[in-house]
Amino acid sequence: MKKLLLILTSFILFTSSTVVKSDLSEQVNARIKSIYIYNFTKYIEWPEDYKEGNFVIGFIGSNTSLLTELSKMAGTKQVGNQAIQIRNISSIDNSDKFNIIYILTEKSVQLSEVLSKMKGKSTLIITDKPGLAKQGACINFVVVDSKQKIELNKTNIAKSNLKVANTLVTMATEVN
Amino acid sequence: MVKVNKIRTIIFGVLLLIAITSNAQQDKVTAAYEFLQQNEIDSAKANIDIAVLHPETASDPQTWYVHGFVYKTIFMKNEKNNKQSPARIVALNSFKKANSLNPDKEDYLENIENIKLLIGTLNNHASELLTPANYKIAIKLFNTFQEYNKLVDPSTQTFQSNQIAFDLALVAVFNSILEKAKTDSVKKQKFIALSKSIYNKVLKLDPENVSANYGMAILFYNQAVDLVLNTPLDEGLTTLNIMLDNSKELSKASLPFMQKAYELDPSRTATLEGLAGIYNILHEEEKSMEFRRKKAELEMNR
Repeated sequence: MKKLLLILTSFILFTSSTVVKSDLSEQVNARIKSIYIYNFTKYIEWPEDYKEGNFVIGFIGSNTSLLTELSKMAGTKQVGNQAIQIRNISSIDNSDKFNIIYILTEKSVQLSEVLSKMKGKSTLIITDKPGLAKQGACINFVVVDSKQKIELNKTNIAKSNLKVANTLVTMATEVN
Repeated sequence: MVKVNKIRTIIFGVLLLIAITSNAQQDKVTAAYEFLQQNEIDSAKANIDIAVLHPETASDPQTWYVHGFVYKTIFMKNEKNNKQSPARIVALNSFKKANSLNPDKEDYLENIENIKLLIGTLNNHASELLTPANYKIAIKLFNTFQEYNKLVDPSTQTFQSNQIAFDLALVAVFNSILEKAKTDSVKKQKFIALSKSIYNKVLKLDPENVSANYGMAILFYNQAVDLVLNTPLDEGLTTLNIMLDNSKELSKASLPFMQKAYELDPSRTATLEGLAGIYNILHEEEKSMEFRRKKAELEMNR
């Protein structure tokens, strides 16, 4: 019977396919953010001059999973008639034109610079650190009860000459 | 007087008939044994099959011993590669019956040895059939093995150890089915449920089993991951919210099992990776980083 245990134990060790997908946890979080961002394109309206050419989403920071997920989005979806273009950037110029800029957590310190350079432009600025919706961001990713949620600042959105549908407002925590 | 003699003759005749018949049945057992020695299996089988059914010999342990031997021979000569050999089961049953009729008889230990030999082959066949196509037969064979192994080794510990080893090997088969199921959600649900029930069964017998704790954790965790990764980009926010709730609950369900697996074996990097992943999905970044660091340290020290 010891032989039985040896055979079965060897079988378990060599054939077990209980592969942990923990390396996919980053992709999970990136996927959730991508779904949110895609929904933002549906529930926020840009002015006419931002509906021409590509719909440009820039993100500041380093996140391979996020780049992968956003690239998938760009490859399969459109915003109206616009193809989606993803740009992973380290900084921006005054001359740059983005529909969305997403500042990752580790680059939050760049918010004031981004706000300054995007002043007067119709760019939805998204951040990912507590408190930043009150410091100029339009939408801020937050964690509530272990789940990804969003804060939304209507005033900051309006300042960017953008219009937000009530559907999105009701799904977010409104911040003034 | 003539009448009395007639009655005596009739009684004598009846008694003689009974004696002859009884002897005839016992002769069948002997004949079966002799045919077996001469390698005339069919004849041996024909005689012993009658003997086991006859009231005169059916309760004789020797009858069942010979029956077992005949069918064991049939199995070894003709059905050894037949994983569902009927002769093997008949032989096992007969040796068991022989012992149950008279446990003090000298053939008792020999019957046990015969049972041991036969269930050894049963167990080997069960292991060979642990494949996605044949696992149901493997379960049947293993259950039969367990039933007869109790006669060889009545220890509860042996029974449980064998059961746990088999169950974990069975779940490994289910996992291979799950890996290939991909988009077949009905199949996935079925085998996830089956796997969970097996792990629960193992954990009931052995709550400190590392493989079962880890395996159960992974089942929940992978469900949480798949739920999100299979959500389309254009999923509405209301549905997204429900999905996030479900993913969170699955991740939380995974956590106690993964933590237990870690307590039982802190040196297992897969467990550390699992904990890092679960905490990442639950947005507990510090804890996630802590386990990533521990994993990196372990790998560096190897």
